[in-house]
Amino acid sequence: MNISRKDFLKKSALGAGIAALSLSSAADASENSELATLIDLRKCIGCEACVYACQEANAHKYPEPAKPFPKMYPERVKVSDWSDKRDVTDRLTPYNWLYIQRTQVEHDGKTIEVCAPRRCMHCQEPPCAHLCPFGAAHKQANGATTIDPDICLGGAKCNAVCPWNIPQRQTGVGPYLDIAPSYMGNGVMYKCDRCVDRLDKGQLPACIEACPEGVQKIGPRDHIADEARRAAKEEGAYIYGLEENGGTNTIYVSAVPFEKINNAIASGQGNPHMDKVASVMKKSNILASALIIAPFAGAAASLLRIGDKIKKYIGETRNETEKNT
Amino acid sequence: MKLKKIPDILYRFTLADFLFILAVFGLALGWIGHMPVFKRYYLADLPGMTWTGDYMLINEINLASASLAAFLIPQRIIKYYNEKHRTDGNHARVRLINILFAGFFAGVLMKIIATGMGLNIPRNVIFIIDMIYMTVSASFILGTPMIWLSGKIAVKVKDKAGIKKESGI
Repeated sequence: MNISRKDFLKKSALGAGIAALSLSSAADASENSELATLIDLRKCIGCEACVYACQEANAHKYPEPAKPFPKMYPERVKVSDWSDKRDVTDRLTPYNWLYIQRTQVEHDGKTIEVCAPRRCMHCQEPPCAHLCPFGAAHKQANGATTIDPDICLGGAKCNAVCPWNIPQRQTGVGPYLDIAPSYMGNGVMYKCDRCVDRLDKGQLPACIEACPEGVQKIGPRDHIADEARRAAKEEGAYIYGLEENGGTNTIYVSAVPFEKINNAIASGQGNPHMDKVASVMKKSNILASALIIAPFAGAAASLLRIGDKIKKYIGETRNETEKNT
Repeated sequence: MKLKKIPDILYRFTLADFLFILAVFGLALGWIGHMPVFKRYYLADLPGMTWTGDYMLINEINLASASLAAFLIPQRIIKYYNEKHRTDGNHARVRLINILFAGFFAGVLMKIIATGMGLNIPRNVIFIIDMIYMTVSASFILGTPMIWLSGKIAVKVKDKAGIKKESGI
C-alpha cells in the first residue's frame, strides 16, 4: 500500500496523539496489574510502520552469531540461521518479531482486506514460561513474557509448546557455545518482549508509538478487555485473544469473524494462525492444585490408618484381658 | 519347563509400595523428558516411546506423579520408622537413597512452585531453582541404581567369602 509523505506525517501525528493517551492509560495501571494491548484490525492499513519501528527499537537485542557454526550431533539436528535473511518481514524470525499478516476475506457480500500485526500473544498462562527447562522464558509482572538470551540454550521447547509457535531460533549465539555446542543446545530463541526496556523507562512499545493509525493501545488488561467487549457489543466487532489459551495480553478486534481470517491465512512456522485455542495449561493447573492438597490428604489417611491400628490393638488387648480373667 | 520362583520381595510389596514406585518413575520420566535433549538423542523415537515426545503430557505426568508421591510420603515415613525400629537396621544405603529422594522431591516441589504455578518469582531465583532441580534429580536418578547395585555386589562378595548375609536393600 502506498501512502504519501504528507499523509504519513499527518497520520503519524494522529498516531502519536493516540499513543500519548495510551501511555497515560498504561501509566495509570497499578504496579501489580498486567498490561494488555488492543489491536484493532479495522484500523490497520498494513503500512508496516510498526514492523520497522520494532526492528529499529530492538536492533540491539538481535543475535550476532559466530560463524562457522559448530558441527552438531546427531546429524539430524539442523542449524537455524536467519542472520543472512535479516530483511525478511513477511514472517516471524529472530530478526523480525512483528510482521503484518495480510489476507482477503469475503464477509457480508464484500471483499475485505485484513492486515493483522502479528507477534507474541503474551499469554496470561504462558506455556513457554511454565515449561522452559532452564527458566529462560519468564513472565514479567506487567504481563509480558520475555526470553533471557543469557540463559536460553535454544532447545526450542518454547516453540513446541506455544499454541502459535511464536519463538524463533537463531543458531550460533548464546550460552550453549560455552557448554557443549556440538551435543547440547542450538542457539537462542527470540520473540517480541513488548519492549520491556522501553516500558520500564515509561515509554510505549515501539510498534504502538509508531503506528500512524492508532491501531494499537496498551493499558491495564481489565480496561482493554472492557473496550474489546464494548466494541463487540456496540459495533458488532469480533474478538480474538480474550479467551484464547485461557486469556492473552494481546487482544484483537476485527470487523470480520476470526474463523474466516484463520481459514484465509496460510499459517505455519513463523506465520501464526488465528484459530480457537483451548487453555494449554488447564490440566497442569488442576494437577498443580492437587499437589497442594495431596500431602495433607496423605497425612490424614495415614493418621486414620494409625487410629484404626490403635483401636484394633486396644480391642485385642481388652479381649485378651477378658479371656485371662 | 520349570517356572522361575517369584522373588520374596514382591510378596511383601503392598499396593502403596507399587504406587510409590510408579510415582518415582513418573518423576524420573518428568525430569528426563522435560529436556529437549530427550528428543534430540532419539529417546522419544524408541518404539512405543513416541508419546514421551509430548512436552505437555510429560509435564502432566510429572505433576500427577508429584501429587501421588506427596500423598504417599506420610505413609512412607511411618513405614520407614516402623521398619527401622523392628529391624534395628536402618541400613546406610537405604538411608542414603532416602536422603537422595528427599532432595529430589524437594527439587521437584521447588521447580513446580517456581515455574508451574504462575507466581511472580524473580528470574534469577527461578534459574537457581532450575539448577538445584537438575542437580538433585540427576543425583537421585543416577545415584539410586548405583547405590542399589553396590548393595547387591556387596552381598554377593560377602556370600562368596562365607560371611553371613545381612539385610540388604
